[in-house]
Amino acid sequence: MRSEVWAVLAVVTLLLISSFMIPTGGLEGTELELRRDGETAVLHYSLPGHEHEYPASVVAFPIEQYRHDDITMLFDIGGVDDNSSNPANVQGLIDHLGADLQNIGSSREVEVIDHDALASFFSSGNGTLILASSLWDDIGLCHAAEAWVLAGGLLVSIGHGSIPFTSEMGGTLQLHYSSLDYDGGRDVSTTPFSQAFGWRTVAPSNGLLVKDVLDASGTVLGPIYHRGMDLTTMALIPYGQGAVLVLGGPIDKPFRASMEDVFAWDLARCLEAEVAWAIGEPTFVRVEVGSAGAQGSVALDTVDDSTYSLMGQNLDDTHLVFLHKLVEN
Amino acid sequence: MRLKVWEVLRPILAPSPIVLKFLLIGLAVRFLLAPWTAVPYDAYPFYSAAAGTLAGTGPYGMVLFSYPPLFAVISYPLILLYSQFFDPGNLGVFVPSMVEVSRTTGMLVPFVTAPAFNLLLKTPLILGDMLVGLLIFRTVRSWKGEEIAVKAFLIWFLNPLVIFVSAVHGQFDVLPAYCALVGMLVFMDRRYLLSGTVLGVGVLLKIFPVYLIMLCLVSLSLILVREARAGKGLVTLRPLALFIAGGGLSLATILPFLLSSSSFLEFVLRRGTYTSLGGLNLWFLSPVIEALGTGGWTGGAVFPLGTLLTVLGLALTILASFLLLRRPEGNERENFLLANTFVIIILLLTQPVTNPQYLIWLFPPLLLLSLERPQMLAKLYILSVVGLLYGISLQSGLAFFYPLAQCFGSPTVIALNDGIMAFYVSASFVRFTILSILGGVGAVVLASIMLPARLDPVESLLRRWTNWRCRHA
Repeated sequence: MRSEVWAVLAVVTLLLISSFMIPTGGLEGTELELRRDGETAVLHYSLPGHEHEYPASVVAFPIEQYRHDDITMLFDIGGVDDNSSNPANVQGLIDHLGADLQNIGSSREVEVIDHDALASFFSSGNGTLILASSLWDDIGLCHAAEAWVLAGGLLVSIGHGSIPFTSEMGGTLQLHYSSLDYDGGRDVSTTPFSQAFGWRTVAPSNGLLVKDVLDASGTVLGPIYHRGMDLTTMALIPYGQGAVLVLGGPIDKPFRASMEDVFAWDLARCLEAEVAWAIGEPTFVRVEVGSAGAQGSVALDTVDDSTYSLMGQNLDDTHLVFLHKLVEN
Repeated sequence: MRLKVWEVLRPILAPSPIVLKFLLIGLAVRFLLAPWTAVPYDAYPFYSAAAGTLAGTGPYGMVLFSYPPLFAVISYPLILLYSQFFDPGNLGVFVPSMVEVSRTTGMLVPFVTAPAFNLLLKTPLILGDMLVGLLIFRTVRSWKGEEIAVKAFLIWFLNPLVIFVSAVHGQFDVLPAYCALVGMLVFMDRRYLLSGTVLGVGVLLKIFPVYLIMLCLVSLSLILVREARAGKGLVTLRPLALFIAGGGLSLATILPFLLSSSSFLEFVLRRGTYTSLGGLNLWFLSPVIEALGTGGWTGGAVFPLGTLLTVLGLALTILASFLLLRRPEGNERENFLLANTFVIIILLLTQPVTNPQYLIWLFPPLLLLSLERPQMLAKLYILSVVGLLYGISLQSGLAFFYPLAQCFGSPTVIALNDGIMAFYVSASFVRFTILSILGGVGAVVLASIMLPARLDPVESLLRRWTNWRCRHA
């Protein structure tokens, strides 16, 4: 009988511990405010304190438009080639992205479609579509994808071959990838967006040619790797009424550098903050937040009458701080 | 007061002076190894569960921890305690120089957990090793006397594979193995409520005790039929009801998770399922087939091989349980231990991937079975050596020392990277071949446990070896 009593005590103890472990959300109390005064604007921020210091960033940038699309992702078992992400990794990204969006308090859902449903998706209006595999085998679908982006769709493409309308595909977008030697992170320059957001996808096996991004009037979002030619991990290309958010790829090992965990971390924050519709460089500040929190302000470099996207976030693993606000003129 | 506490603890921790002596030696070895060793790939999900829980997203918030929740629950109090005094942000660090070696091998993560984290994570596992050892001692002492009990304790607690799995690799297989051992022993004592509870807790750590629950259910069904035939009425349902009630009680340990969201269950069942094959089981040839460039055997999303193997394993479990529990020869205890051992072997042989740490599930019942069948001891020794070699060959022994390298710079992380690269790239085919050979030896030894002595090739080899040694002594 004594053993039974011990067993019940153990069960009750574990129950008590479990009750302290269920998701409670992150630290509350983040505040962001943009005060405009004529041709100047100042971003005021307040980040919640914690007994252990944590790194955080606060960022503001102008955007052309904002939408609150759910995120649709192609899961295509048959579409695998050397440049595509493995279906297991795509499924991993679906899981991670859904969880990361939930963690940062986003109401966006991740919906999964298969290859056969793409045509009807492209004909159903604007949205956000993530492709991590190639559509090489279906020229008609590639044209439909291009028309959809031109009309206002947001295509997030991960890895070589996942943009269905590059010049290689007979399309007009001149964008090339090259093998990216990470080399322990040496010889890398930051960009304003990479510093502001602290992207975690640092080592995809293929990066984008920076020259091509700039030639296409795009913005380099990721850091720049100087490897004989300049390569980056992430870029934004406006395309007609829509945009292409291009990421190096494919999604592949290892975790913490080029796998679904880091792609999801970056995409969740990037999409929630409407980076895809950015029309200017970000103004940002990176801070170490102590127990008293962090309060401060930063003047925006350039100000116009655009809508501004404001975001405050933690950059470490053991805290969760996230707030996104849109400020219209 | 201190004396009184020791008086209570002494029979548990120091049932004999020699047990106490080797308990302290075994614990010292483990606690010396624990902080400085880890497998980055396997430690990262545990780190993510701890970090996510501290951040407020729960153990599944970073979607990397794919086990049932109870190990995260057990390890959390120590992490929480640490975070009251120290910054948990220092529990792990991204190491850029490991990216290439991680990509090439596919078996590393460029993230090294700190010695403090390794120690916090492994402390419950080391205590688990101790609990299993002391339970084996008590059980064997009551069955066969103290001398044999001491020997059984030492075979478990000083077993290099047991030490390696808990104190070096940092895998928590010993905790469900402890639950399985307790659950089966109290089941033999007809304490069905306790058995159901403890086995249920085991399932909430790792899924494998489900197979032992199937064995128990077959046993209870046989009792039910026998007693119903004897006309005992509704009372015949009592053992089954108590066992199921115990299982239900175990769910209380994760009730908050179940109430907050059930999505983690789907995640655990889907992401925790292997899509590849290999290890110390029937699929031991997979590494060498992979080396020949055919990609190994995989059960991808198209063909649900993992599901089919699970169904096969469960069907064989029920069949073996039924046949062994109704076996006319042997006593009740021997038959139940035999069934317990066979069920775990069926699982180990048929599941898609059998890693060396899974042998920990088998060792306690195999050790107890060796009291009735002494030849099992030699097989336990062989499996320990094979498992240890497999674990080292799988990752290269160097992969375990990243925490040491990151902390002291000796050996350097770069030196470990280079060594592992050479092991994977230069000796790729050799490595795959070694893995297949070790996997094959492990599978044959496992299968031989289920064979009668006259058909047992391992037994025959060992006999010849003994004879040869006697002739040449």
